[in-house]
Amino acid sequence: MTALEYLPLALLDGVVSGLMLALVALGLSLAFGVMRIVNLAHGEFYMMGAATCLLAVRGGLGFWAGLFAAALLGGALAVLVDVSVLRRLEYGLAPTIIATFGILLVLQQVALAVIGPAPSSVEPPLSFLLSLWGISYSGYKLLVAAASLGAALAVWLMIRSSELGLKMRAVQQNRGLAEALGIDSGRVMTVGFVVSGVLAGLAGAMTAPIRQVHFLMGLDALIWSFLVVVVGGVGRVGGTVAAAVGIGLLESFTALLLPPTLSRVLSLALVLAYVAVRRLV
Amino acid sequence: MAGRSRYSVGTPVLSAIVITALALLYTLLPDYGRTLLARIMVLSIYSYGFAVSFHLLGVMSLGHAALFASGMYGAGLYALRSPVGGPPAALAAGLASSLIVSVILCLVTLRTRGPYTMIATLLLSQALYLLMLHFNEVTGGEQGIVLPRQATVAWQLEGVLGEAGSRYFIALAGLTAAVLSVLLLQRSRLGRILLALRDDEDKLESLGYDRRLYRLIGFSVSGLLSGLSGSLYALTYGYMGAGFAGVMYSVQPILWVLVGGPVIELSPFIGCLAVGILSDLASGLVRGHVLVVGLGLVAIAFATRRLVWMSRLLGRLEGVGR
Amino acid sequence: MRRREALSSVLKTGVAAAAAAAAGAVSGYFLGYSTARPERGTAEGGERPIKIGFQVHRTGIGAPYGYWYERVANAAVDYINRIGGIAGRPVQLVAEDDETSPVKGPQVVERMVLVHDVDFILGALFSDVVLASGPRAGELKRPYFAVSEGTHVPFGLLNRWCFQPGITDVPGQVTAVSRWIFENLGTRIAMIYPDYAFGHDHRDALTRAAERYGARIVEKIPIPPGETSFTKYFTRIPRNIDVLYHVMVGDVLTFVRELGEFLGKDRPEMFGFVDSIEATPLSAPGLEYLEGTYFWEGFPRYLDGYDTRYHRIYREAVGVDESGADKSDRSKVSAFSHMFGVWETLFVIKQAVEQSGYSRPTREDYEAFVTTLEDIDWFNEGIWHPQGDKLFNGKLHQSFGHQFVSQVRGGRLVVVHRTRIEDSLYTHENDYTRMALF
Repeated sequence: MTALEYLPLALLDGVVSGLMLALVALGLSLAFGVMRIVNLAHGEFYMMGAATCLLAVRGGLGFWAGLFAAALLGGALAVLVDVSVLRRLEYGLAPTIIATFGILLVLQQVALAVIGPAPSSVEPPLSFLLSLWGISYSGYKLLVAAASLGAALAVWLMIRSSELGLKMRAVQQNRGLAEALGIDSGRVMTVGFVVSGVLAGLAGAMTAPIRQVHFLMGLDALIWSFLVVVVGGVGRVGGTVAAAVGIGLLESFTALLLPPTLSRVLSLALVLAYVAVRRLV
Repeated sequence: MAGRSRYSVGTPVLSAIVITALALLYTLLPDYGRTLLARIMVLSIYSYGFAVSFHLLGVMSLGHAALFASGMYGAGLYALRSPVGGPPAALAAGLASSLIVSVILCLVTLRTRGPYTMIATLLLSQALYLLMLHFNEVTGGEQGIVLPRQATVAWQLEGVLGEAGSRYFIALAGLTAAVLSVLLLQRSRLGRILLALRDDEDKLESLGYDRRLYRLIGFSVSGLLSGLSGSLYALTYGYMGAGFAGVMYSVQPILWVLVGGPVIELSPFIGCLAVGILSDLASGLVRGHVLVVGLGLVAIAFATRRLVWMSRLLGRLEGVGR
Repeated sequence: MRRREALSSVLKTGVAAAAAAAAGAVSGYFLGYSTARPERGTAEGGERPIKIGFQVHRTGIGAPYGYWYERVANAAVDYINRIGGIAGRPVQLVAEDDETSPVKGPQVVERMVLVHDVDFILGALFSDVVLASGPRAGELKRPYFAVSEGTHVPFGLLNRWCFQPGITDVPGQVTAVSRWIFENLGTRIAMIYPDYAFGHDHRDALTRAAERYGARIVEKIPIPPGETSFTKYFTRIPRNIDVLYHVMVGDVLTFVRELGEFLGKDRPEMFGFVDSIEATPLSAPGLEYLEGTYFWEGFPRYLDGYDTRYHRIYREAVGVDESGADKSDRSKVSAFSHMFGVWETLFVIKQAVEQSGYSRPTREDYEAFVTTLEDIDWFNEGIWHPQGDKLFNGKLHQSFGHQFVSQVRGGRLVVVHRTRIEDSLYTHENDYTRMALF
C-alpha cells in the first residue's frame, strides 16, 4: 500500500512542520500564554519579519543580515506598539483586542505598500537535500526545526530560571502584589512583549525561504499560533511545542488516509475533541 | 439583588427612540445612505447574537461565523430549492439550521472555559467552513450562490416599498426583533438566571438550576439571532457564500460589540454602525482606506478604555483577562 | 450606581456616535453623498464624460491582479481619450477598492451607481466578488463587465446586465489546451487543483475533455484553500501517470519547491496554468523545478511568444517590457495573461456605445446598448483586441479566443502552440437574450 510506503515521510514531515509551527507560535506563547496579552497583531509581526528578510535579500545584504534585521524590526515594532498603545490602554483586554486588530490592518497595508501585493520568495542560505530512510528532505527545513527546538528551550529556561521570567510570572499572577514587592510591572511587560516581537520577527525570517512571503500571510500564522498556544496549555512553552508537533503529525497522517479537505476536517475535529473533553487545568 | 430587579425605564425608551429615528431617517437619507444603513442594520443583528453570548453568558466565542453562515445557507438553500411557504418558510429554515449548529457548538464547549472555549468554537467553525467548501455542489463553495430575485423577500415587498425601501424596512424589522428579544430577555427570569450563570455557576447549580440546560438555552438565543442575521442577509441580498463561515466573520462581531459598549440593548447596533460608517467613509474618501480603518480602530480602543465598565465586565469573563 | 454608570456611558457612546455620524454626514455631503443627482449637463452629447465605475481588488487576496488591472484600465482610458474618447466624449474612470470581498463588492457597485451615477461598471476578477456584485448591478440597472475567468457569466448564474467579452473563461481555456495535452504529453492524467470554484471549473472541464478525446484522469487531488505546506498531499500522486496537471493559487512558490523535493528528477510531464505564477518572476527561488514543464498562457508574457504590431502597441501603452516586467521596475512582473481583459473590455464598451448610439443612462439607451452588444459575434484582432480575435456568443455574454501553450526553457516562457478558436468552443443552454432587461 502506498500509504505505508510514505509513513516515514509523513512522520518526518509532520514533526518538522509541527516544529515550524511551534517556532511561529513561540512569541505568542510568551505574550499571551505568560503575560495574557491578546496580541492579534502577532501574525503581522511574523509577516514583517519575513518581509524585512526579503527586502534585505533583494537589497543585496544577504540572508543573515536579513535575519538580524528581522529580529530587530520585530523588537522595534513591539516597543512601538507597547509604549504608544498597549501601555496606555493598561493592557485592558477589550481595548487590546480592538487596538491590536487595528494594528493588524495597518501593518498589512504597510507591507502591501512596501513589498507589493504579489508573493515572493527568498533563497535559503543553505540549500541541500538530506537522504533519510529512502526519502530526500530539505536540509534547511531540518535546520529550522532544530532552531525551533533551541529557541523553545531558551524561552523555557528564561521563563523558568531567569529573573525576568520570574518577574513576568509574578506580574501576571498578581500585579498589585508584584508592584508592592518592588517590581516595575510596566517595564517587565514591555520587555516581555519585546522578546515576543523579536521571536515573531525571527520566525518570519527563518521560515521565509520555506514559505512564501506575502502581505496576507500573517492571518493564518495568528490563528495557528493561537490554537497551538491554547491547546498546549496557556503559559506552558513545552505544551506549545508538544501541541504544535502533535498537530503537525495529525495532519500528516490524516492526509494519508483521507482526501485533503476531509483530512483537514478530521484533524480539526480530533483537536476539537481533545479540547472539548479535557478537564480544566 | 434589589438594584437588579428594578430595571431602568431608560433603556427601553432609548431603544424605542433609536428605532423610531431610524424609521424616520429613511425619508431624509439619499439612496446610497439607505442601502448602506440597510446593510449595517442586517449585520447588526449578528452583533446582537454575539452580544448575548458575550455579555449575558460571558462566553467569548470565535466561531459565531458558523451560526451566521448556517442561517444564511439554511434560508438561502431552502429559498432556492423549495417554493413551499415562500420567504417566511425560508426564514424558518434558516433559523432552524442556526439553532442546530448552536446546539452543537454549545455541546462541544460545555466543559470548556475561557481561551479553551475560544479555540473550541474556532475549530468547529473552521471545520464547518472547510466542509462547506468541500461540498461545493450544494453550497457553491467560496464562489457562492446567487438567489433568483423572486426568491428573495426584498422582491416580495418591492411593489409596496420600492427596492431600497423593502431592504431598509426588512432590515429595520429584523433589528427591532433583535432589540426586543434582548430587552425581554434581560428583564425575564431566564435573563436573570443567565446572568447568575455568568457570575457564579456553582452557586446557581447549588440552587437547583441545571447549568448545562441554561447554557444551552443561552447559546441557542445567541445562535438564533446570529442565524436570523444570516438568513435575512441571504433573503434580502440574494447571495450566500462559504466565505461567510470564515474566521474573519467571527472576528467582526467581536469588534462591533467591543466598540459599541455595555448596554446590550443598543451597543451592538452602535458598534456595528460605527465600524461600518468608518469603513465606508474611509473607502469613499481615501485610497488606502484599510489603513485608515486600522488607525480608526486604535483610536476607538483608546476611547473605550475610558469606560470603566469594560474592565469590570471583562473581569468576569471566565478565565481570561484581569 | 452601576445603572447610572452604564447609562452615562451609553450616553457618552451615543454622543460620540452621533458626533461621528454628523461629521460623516457633513463630509459625505460635500463628497457626493447628497440627495441631489449630479448635474449631467444640458448639452446633448457634448463634453459630458462617460463615467465607468471600476471595482478594483486593491487590497485583499486579489491585490496582485488588482494592481495591474488598475494600471491597464488607466492606460486604456488614456489611449481612448487620446483618440477622441467614446462617441466624442471623454472617458472618466471612477475606481474604488472592493477589498476582494463579496460583502464590499456590492457596496462598491451601490456607490458607483447611486452616488457617482456611472454609465457602466468594470468589474472584478475573483468569482465570489463577481457573483455577489453582478446581481446588484442588475437590480440597479447598469451593465457590469466581469474580467474574471469564471463560469458565472456564461453559465447563466448572473443576469442580462452582466457580460464577459474581454477575457475567456476556464472551460474555454481548458477545452482548448486539453487536446494538445493529450496529443503531445500523454493520456494518463493526475490533477491537483484548489478545492473551490476555480479549481472545480478546471476539474469539470478537463473531465469532459478527457471523455471526449479518450484520455483518463487517474487521480483528482483537491487541495483545501489556505494550505501552506503540500508535501503530505503529494503522496496521493500515482506513480505511473503521463501528465501532472496542476492549478494552484496561493502558496505556489512553496508548492513548486515541495513538489520538486518530492518528485525529484524522475517526474512525469507537467502542465500548469500561468495563474499560479502570474505576477511572479520565473527567476524566483524555488521555481527552478519548473524548467521544461508546460503552461497555459492567456497572452504570452514574453513578447516573442506572439509578436505582432498590435501586441507591441499594447505593451508600450501599459509600460511592460518584452519579458513581461514593469519597465520602470524590472523586479515587478505583470499579470499578463489576465490584465489584457481590462483593455479589451473597455474597447468593447466603446464599440457598443458608438454602434448603439447610447447617450444617457435611460431605459431606451440601455436596451439599445445591450441588444447591440449581444448581436456582435466577432471582435477583430487589432489595437482594440491585441490578444487576438474573438468569437462573442451573445447568448452566453462570453467571448471565446485563442489560447497559448508555453514551455519553460532557460528560465523563460516559450510559446509552443497557439490554439484555434474552434478548439475552445463549448455549448451551454444558457440564453440571456431571453431574459427581460427591465
